[in-house]
Amino acid sequence: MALATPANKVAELGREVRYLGRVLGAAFRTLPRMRARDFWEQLGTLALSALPLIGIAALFAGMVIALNASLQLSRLGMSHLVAEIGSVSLVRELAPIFTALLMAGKAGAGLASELGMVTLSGQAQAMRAMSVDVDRELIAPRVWACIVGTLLMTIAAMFLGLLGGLILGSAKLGISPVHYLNLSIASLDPSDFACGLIKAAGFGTIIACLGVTYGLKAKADAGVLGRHTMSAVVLSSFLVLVCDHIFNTLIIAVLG
Amino acid sequence: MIPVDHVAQIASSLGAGQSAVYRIVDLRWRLGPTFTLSVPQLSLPRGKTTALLGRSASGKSTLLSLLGRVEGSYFERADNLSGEIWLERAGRNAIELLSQTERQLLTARLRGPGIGFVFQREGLFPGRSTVGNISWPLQACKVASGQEADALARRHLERVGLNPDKDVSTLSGGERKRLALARALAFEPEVLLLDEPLTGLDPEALGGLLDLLASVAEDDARTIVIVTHQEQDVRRLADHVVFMDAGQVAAAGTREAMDQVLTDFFAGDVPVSQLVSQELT
Repeated sequence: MALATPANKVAELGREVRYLGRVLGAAFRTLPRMRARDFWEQLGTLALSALPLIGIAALFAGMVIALNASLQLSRLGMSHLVAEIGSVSLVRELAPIFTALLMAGKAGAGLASELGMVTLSGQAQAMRAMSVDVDRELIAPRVWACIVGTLLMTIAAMFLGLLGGLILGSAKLGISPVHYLNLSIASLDPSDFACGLIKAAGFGTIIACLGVTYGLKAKADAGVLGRHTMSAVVLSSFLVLVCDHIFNTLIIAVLG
Repeated sequence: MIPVDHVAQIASSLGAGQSAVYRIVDLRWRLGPTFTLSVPQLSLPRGKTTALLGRSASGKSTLLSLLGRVEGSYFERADNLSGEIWLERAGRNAIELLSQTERQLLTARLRGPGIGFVFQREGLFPGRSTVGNISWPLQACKVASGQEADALARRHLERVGLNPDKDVSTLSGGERKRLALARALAFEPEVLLLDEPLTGLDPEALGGLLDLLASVAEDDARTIVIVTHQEQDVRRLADHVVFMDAGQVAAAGTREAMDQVLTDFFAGDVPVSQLVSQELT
């Protein structure tokens, strides 16, 4: 086993980045040959099955944002801005972030463990031995389903989060639902949705590539499979949070 | 120690008038600080069954994986690997396997239709039916489509004596081996590589599968290379034997020529490395 010297660590990092690039490249290269049926199947497994979880989380997140915003804003005498601030922060920031974190836990872990079993049980090797294109059969449908799924779940989280804010605004703060909705619509710009969705696509890419990469890495036993799955989830979550700042900076520079 | 200087003399000893399907030249693969697969020269006869024998961790399965180009994993390719493995299929140009990239191997569909491989861990697809385990790779590899693939799958399941309606998760060890063999045979490969296909079976399942392999081996157009530890497999199936020891070819030749060496080997008294000295003197 190689010693954990700084040089070896850098080399290992370089290898990991190369693997991620290879997975993303394979997904793009085989996109035209990917079967639609495989994509829909994976979309259902990876993303749509998470809709109840993400939907309920979004509803409560929307309520919490509205509640906290109203508390802070009332101290400044600006309670009337609850709908605007709550809606914009939800669409630009919170919906993409918590959707990505939930997707990292569900889809990321699912990809790493499923493909990990495929690798561990010799199915991936058997596929190579029969000239079955692993890129087309395993990688492309999963990567694209995870990216599209994260986008769809983020859109759902945005609207359900707004609904949560609307419910709390009317039940707790005495703002009529129609008024809250009008304030939200007036405050939201298309660029806010674009910002949230661009970030969601980026997060989906990170989760998909890490899940698939850790799934297809060689593993000797179930212990390694568990460690790879954990690494995929932890690293995805970490990178989502780190890249959020990078994406925000870039998007603000471009979209304003 | 193995007298390596003499290995080349015995390693290429095909029977008279036999052509080779595999020719290995200066193959060297360093797999770690303590193990290096080193085969300076070895030829495997066409249309015959060759048994790879040796103690555990002697390099048999490693060599087999290189013959089938299934070494490494999706990401990790073989480092520290040098030499040449030439595959000479009937009526086709010889191909140097180690120079082929994964993409080239895939595009040429060399594995599967050209070289069939049955793994020790069968690598079955648990989410698919027994028929699907055969028909899906046939379709994915574009060997057959739809109903044709299903019909091929059912025919080969019948050949190995498996019920096509059985669920893969309910298959016994012997049935799993049969399914893996049926799947490899469905591609009609010219070369069939078998990694311990008869290990861990009860006597009844073993007998049945051995009969099946014997019938497969009767096809003169098909070359079989089998890794095994069992004497009855070698006596029943093999025309040629290759002994491996510590990553090197210790002895090779026709089964008849190696008869005494085989007897001694399965008696377990004589280490393989000493067999070579005995054979050469």
